[in-house]
Amino acid sequence: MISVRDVKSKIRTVRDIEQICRAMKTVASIRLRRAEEQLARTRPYRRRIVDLAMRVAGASRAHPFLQKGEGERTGMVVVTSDRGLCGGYNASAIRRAVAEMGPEEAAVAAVGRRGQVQMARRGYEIIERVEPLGGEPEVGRMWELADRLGARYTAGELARIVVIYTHFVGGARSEVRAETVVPVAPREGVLEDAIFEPTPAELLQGLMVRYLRAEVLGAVLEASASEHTARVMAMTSATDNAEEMIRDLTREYNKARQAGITKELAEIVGAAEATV
Amino acid sequence: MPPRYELAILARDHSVFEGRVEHLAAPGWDGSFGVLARHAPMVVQLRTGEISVVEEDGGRSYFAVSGGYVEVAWDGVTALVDAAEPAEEIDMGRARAAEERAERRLREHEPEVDVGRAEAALRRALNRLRVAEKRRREG
Repeated sequence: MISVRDVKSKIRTVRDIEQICRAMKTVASIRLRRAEEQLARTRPYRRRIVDLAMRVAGASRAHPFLQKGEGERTGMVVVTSDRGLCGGYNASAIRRAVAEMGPEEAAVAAVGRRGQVQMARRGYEIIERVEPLGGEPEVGRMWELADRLGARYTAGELARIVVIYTHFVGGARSEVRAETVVPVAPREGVLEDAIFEPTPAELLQGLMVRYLRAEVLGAVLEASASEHTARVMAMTSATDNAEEMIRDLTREYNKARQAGITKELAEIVGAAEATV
Repeated sequence: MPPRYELAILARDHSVFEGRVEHLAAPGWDGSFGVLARHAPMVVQLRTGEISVVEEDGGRSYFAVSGGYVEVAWDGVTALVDAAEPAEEIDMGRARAAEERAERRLREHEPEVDVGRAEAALRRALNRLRVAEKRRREG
């Protein structure tokens, strides 16, 4: 029989854990709201600049991002979080990255600590890293990453640039995606009769920089919203589990306490009978 | 009544302007240009300067912009700008401070100063001041 004191201390421990989980859930939901706002605020520009870059590319191919990459390996951007306790969020992204390409085919640009550690352990070379990522991704750092990757591609180091991230679907669903962002797929025949100033080739110089920045930033913002969603869900179920455990332990405590009382009563009664 | 068209001015982290307009003037790569309704499709790179808009009700708006693109399509016009500030929101004090900082950098010209960047900063600061002052005069 478990002692009353043991049960009591167990209840206290579980209650502490429950409180921590609840606090983490609150923080994650605040961050989720902010991430969703940032995603929505930046989406119109990102969509349109990507679209414009692809359409102008339909009029001219005079940019390295529109040529086949000269490198042997693919630059694989893997977006994960710095910390765990967010369900299968990191594991799914890493699983997808590994399934996509092996260490001999891909060099990794790791965004977030988890992915960096896990991919390095699996033998991938880490050529770029952005970690710790922090609670809110900084736009400037993502742009720099995009510029560095673009420069590597232009220098002939990479065959492609692929981004692996968890797309934010909203609600409880999430979806890991692998997207090839460079070489860029041009959209032909849309701007055939348009006037260009300066020439399409000159326009592409600036457009392609903005295109890659928008794609990298977009993936990281999507992933960040997904991460916070996953953490809210993980912490909700942890809080629920803790509550259930407390209920079970409280029953256990009552039983142990009752057993103690019954035993004492039996002893008193026994002793009384003996003395009569 | 002159014909109108849909205009959206989008900066990278927010929408600066969305609505029906009569006319748009912007600092194009080869000089300022204007767009009326039914303009032929066009893609123009922007320089640092001012975008001015004549709205549906005849009201005018001015924005200091630094770089970006304007796309004219049959169904509307989109400006995708690196940064944009409505003239009335420009903080003159801050713009002036930025101007002085950039000028000092260029004057002193320490070896570690990136001249190109300092010049770009100066251009942006001067542009913001010009747009804000013009707006105030018309006030």
